[in-house]
Amino acid sequence: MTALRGRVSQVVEVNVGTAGGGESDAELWHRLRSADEDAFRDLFLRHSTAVYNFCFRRTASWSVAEDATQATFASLWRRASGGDIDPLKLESARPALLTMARNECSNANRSRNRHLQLVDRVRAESGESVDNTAAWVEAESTMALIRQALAVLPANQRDVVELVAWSGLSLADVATALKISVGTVKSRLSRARARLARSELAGLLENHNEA
Amino acid sequence: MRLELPPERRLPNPEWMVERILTERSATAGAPPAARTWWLSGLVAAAVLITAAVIGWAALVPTGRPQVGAAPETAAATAGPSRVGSPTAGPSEISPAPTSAATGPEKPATVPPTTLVPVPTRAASTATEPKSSAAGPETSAASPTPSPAETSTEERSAEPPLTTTVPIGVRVQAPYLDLTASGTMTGGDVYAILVETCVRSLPPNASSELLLSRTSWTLSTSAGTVTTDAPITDPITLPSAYPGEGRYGIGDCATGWIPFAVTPDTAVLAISYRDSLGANVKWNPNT
Repeated sequence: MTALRGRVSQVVEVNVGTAGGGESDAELWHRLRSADEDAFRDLFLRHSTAVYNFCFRRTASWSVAEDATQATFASLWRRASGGDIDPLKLESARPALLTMARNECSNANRSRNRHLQLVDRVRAESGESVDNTAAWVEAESTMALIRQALAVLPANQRDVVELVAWSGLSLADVATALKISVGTVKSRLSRARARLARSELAGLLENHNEA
Repeated sequence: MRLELPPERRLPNPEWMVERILTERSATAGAPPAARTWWLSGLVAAAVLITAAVIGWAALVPTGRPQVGAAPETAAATAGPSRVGSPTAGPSEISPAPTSAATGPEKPATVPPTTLVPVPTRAASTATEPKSSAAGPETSAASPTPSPAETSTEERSAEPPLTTTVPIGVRVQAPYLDLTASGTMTGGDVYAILVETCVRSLPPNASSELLLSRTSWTLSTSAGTVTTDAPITDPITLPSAYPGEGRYGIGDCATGWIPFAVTPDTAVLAISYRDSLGANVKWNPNT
């Protein structure tokens, strides 16, 4: 089993669209533009884990990722409250959210001091069960190594790797979210794959959705 | 060596996080920003001042002599609108007061005075105490320091929310709340405080509950103010944690320990509580 399959199989949240009989992302987004709290709540519960894991892969820190996730959605809600949200161009809100999260992850990474480690601490203190601490510390170490290896790529190629290969977005969705052509996405991914072909990251670019 | 992506994790407490985002934004939207309130108050005050000046000038011209009494009247007139305009903050949502000194506009004009009540023992606080303390405000006479209740209304209205500094272990009757800091604990880079916030009454127009937040509590140290957001690298185990945020009705209390990140060479000078309803209290942990 490759790492990517392992990752996808562990996605626990409901995916986009009308799965489960709920409203589509497009419908929720439309209501969100009118600052509808329920729509925001549904979008959050639907996509927050994807944003959280995306941020973790960009920051190699669970707690910074948690902070960045909150910042991403807080920013979204702030914009919704101010009537400052563009219409959704895709069926899924996830590409737009991950694109927004890129900036928040960078900000959070630059100022790690402001993240809320207390959340994890208080949860542990109150007796609530938490993940195996050693496992997620190891995950952070592994992710830090991956980030280090990925640093050989230009930022625009890293973005494509993170969005397509690691987050499972389609080339078309990434192209729309990044406001570039599908061909550009494809070429960046191809160059990244060629650059990393002999590295320890080669396996991380094998499986992705190129639909 | 081939690296593999670590497995995904579920976001911890998503329901809590989304409600926090919505609540924070609602609180911000519901209460006019302090700066805006100040600005409006200043505008009204300026208008009144100009009007008074014109009237004073008009009165001065016919008589040809100065009107000594005009100045105090003008001052009084300017103070009025500033206070009336201020209590528009959402009464049911308490938010931590900004760390800057400009907290005046957030204080409702009708806030009850802050009084002090000694706490007999550290473990004596219970959820039922706020009701009893609310029924007996005269207990403020037992305060170890001069009670703010003795301060005249005029004096209080000219000042930002009253700052009270008391020894640790003293319960303070702040506007609508009973506040207690009764214990401290240190270990590693953590300085923890044992505190209790009880809802004694509700502001006018409030719903049945107040939103209490852990972030209202801060530490004043020799290195500056430390908030609950500061990351802690070496956690210690605490007996019971103070809730992060929650809604509380009259008689309800939020109780527990709050950890702060403090370097070992930093001296803790005060435990502080501030909120948008006018509470501004400090406990001296070194007494």
